[in-house]
Amino acid sequence: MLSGQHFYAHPSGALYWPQKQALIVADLHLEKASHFAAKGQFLPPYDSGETLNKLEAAARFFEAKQIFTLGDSFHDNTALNRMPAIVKTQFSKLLASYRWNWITGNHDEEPEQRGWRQHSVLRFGQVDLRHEALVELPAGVSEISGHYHPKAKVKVRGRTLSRACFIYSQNRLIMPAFGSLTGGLPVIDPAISAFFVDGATTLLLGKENVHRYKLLPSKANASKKGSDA
Amino acid sequence: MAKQLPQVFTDWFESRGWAPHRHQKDMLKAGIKGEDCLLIAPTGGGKTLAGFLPSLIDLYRNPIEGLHTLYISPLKALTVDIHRNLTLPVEEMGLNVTIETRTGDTPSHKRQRQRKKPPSILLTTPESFALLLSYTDANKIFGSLKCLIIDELHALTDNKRGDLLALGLARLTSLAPEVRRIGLSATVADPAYLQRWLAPVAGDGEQTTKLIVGKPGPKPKVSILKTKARMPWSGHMALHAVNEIYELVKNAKTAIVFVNTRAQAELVFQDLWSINEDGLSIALHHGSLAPEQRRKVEAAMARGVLQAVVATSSLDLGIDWGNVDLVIQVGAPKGVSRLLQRIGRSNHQFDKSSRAVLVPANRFETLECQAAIDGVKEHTLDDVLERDGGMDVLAQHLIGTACSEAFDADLLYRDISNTAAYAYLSREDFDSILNFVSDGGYALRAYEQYKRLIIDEEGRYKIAHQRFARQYRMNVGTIVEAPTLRVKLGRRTLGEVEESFAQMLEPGDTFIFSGQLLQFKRIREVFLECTSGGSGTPKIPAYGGGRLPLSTHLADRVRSMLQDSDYWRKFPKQVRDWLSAQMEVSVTPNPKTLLIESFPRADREYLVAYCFAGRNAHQTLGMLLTKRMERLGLGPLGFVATDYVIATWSLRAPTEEQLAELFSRDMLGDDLEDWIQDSSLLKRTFRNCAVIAGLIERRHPGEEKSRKQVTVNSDLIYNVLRRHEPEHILLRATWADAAAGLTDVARLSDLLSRYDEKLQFQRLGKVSPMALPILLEIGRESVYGSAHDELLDEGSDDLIAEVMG
Repeated sequence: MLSGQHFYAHPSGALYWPQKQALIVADLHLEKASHFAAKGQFLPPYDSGETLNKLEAAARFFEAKQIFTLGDSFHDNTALNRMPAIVKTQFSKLLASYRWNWITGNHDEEPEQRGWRQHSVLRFGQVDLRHEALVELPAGVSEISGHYHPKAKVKVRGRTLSRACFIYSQNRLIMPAFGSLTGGLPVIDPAISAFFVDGATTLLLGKENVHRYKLLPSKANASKKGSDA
Repeated sequence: MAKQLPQVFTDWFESRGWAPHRHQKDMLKAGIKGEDCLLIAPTGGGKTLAGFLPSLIDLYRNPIEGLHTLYISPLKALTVDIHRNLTLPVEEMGLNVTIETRTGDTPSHKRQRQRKKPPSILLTTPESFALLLSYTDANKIFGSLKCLIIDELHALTDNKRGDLLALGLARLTSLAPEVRRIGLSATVADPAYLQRWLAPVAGDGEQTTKLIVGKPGPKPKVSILKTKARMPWSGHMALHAVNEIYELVKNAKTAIVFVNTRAQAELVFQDLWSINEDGLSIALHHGSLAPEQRRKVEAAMARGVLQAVVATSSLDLGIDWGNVDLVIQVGAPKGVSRLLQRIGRSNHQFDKSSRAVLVPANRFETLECQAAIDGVKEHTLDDVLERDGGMDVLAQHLIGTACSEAFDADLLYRDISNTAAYAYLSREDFDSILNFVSDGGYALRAYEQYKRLIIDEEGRYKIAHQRFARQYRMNVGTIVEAPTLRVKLGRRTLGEVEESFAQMLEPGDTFIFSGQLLQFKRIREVFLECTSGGSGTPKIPAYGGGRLPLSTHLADRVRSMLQDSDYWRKFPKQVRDWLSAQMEVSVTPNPKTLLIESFPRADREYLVAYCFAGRNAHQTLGMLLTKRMERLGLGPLGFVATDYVIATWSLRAPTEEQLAELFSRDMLGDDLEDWIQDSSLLKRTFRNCAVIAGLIERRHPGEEKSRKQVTVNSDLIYNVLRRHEPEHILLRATWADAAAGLTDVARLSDLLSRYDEKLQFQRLGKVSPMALPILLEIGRESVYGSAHDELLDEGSDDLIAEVMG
């Protein structure tokens, strides 16, 4: 809950905003593999297709009407040109089926002609959507952002498991990267934990569910599960 | 002899009061005939000189410009050592022969000069050799080559560095077909494989490599430490015996204390110093310490100023220290050949026997130590593992070859499939790898425009752009380490720890590294910064991999010893009592049947199987067993595996019929693939393959920040690839690696067929004495149970669940 609004976290890494019937995703990094291929590292060319399949499934699951992307939707400025024909078709269909709102990230600042407008920030009432979290949020404003690709490690029964995650506190939420070939940064890294000095909740992406773990304020890497559900 | 040896050589031998050994003369004869040969001789037998003597004489009689002899060793340190040992006779005889080393440590100006004006004899490593072969002037560098010497061959034929070398040798067959090949090796059970490996078998299938065997040295004197302390039931550290180890060290001139893991090295070292009232000079040596640190210890050893050094396998090979008179093996030796190699580190004088004391860390290890001593006595060595060369290594080699010159795929395939390591390779697989190298080889031909290899007018493959050659040279080699951080104390770099260990530390935590108690300050870039001292229970860095499984040969010996109660007299009393107690409540394992005990304990039902198939095979077995138990409704809760036994615990005990079903040999079919593909073990294996094959770039100094991306991405790539192209050549390479190594599927399959319908079931009222050690390992070893997601769920219901990073 941010600024009185309810959101649902999906194990795919998407966030659903019922009031707007909007699916929010961050950091799709489309055509990351072909970006590497151009440099001579032939990563499997299936990442964009996978990411879009996942997106389509999540949008269908929530019966969303619109899609908000929080930047770095493309791995680089020429990504769309490299997209294989079959994926392009799928992408066009998705573009036609939903209302899209694009936010610009640091990877896709100067896009090729794509036929849509990109925003640096979108404000809906008291909720800001942007790519990279602001250090100082204006009073009364909440923020949903991407950029950092948060992930968290937890220890369960002596085993360490690491998963991409949502991380949020009262007025701030950072989304996991949605792209199928995107890595992550641990939430205890100062780059992320600095936003959550008073502690935070993480939702780790599992196969079927998201799993809630608390990040305590005092010790960045040890915490207890909170009683709030 | 006189004819073979020029006067100046004869004079030199005489001036030293030496006469050439018989195997040295045999090597000379083979040299004159131009035969490829494999020399097997014990350490201290003048093996190196035997290898080089024919070259020195040839260079004396027929001096040539350019490279005459190429020497390849698995260790950089060994090339330095050989350089020293060889320069002496060359200078004393006044020969006009230049000798140089070339490794990753060689400065680039020297490396460039070496390509223009190579020395007569070049000493190098498999990686530097591969690099040399990738230059466009490789044909010039190797055109004059007459002789190739591979040292410690036995340490190369069972791993990927050896694959890389085998491919380099295949390339030499076209660059310099006349080169004579010499392999130097410690004693092995099956020299025929090494012979085949060294040089291709002739068309008629006849072995062309001549075998020369040196006279064995005197038998080593090996004993088990008779400890007065109480031997622990489990664990591998053997700290109970530190006082006795100290006494042994004190009474020796110089001792090497060998341990099995780096963590163990740190602990034993620490404990030895804590009781070092006599101020003995005891040093520490393991693979994670900074190279300068290691070189310092090695130099001190060479000067003979050390009383002892605590070492891991980092000192297993090579360097000769004449003054070591005692080897102490702490923990189980794991194999006879390995033990012999270690024992050979003592008394490098040919005519004196080596002395070694084994210090078992627990009762099972005592059995293993005794078995190893019998093995040493009867000189029955562990089998040489024959391995199919890695397809990832081949991918690397194909790029390297294209960097050097345009190649004809047919000819290249012919040369490569002629090697022992790649004899298995079908043309179809070769072509798949070629496609992978060219454009990724994906069914969706998305990368046509980015091809790395293009075909020239003559139908040969050549590199599309010079930047791919640079990329190749930055990434050459087959050693892929887990991400590490450098440990910094003030300005000094002490060595490296794995990143995962560093992430466990919080400021103020203490840990032991490089033999010192350190306090963690912070991680900055690639450095783990710390200060001296601190308090609290110190942590010990653990390192992935590393632990060798028990060899099949030793396992067989242990099984036979256990059934023969007359034999038990050889064991210390504590161990005898343990076995007798076992006989009272159950039976002891034997070679003919597979003993399985079951008993209830604290509301759970335990099953303990005495398989003796090694940790890796046992872990695979444990996973398969628990899956089957689940299907039978037994409610399995977890399992734990050691080298000797496997234990599972569950809600309900299996009946005898169910037991037969649990262990039936068709087990390998059903769940294995699913499990392995999902295991972190396979992801790690995939990462190694992907780096070696050039799918993922290695990290380089200055680009360290992206290190996390590399680890994460390889898992993601693996998942994507598995979903879309499960038959991709890189996945097949990964699967082959995992099956051979960490899962040890072959060994498990042998075990299951051997004991199919030969189970010996003992239903007990409580835990038996022999089952006790494994129960104590629970909590110490990783326990496997439910799938990851269930665990995640379980954790988030737990009141003390924590986010670690």
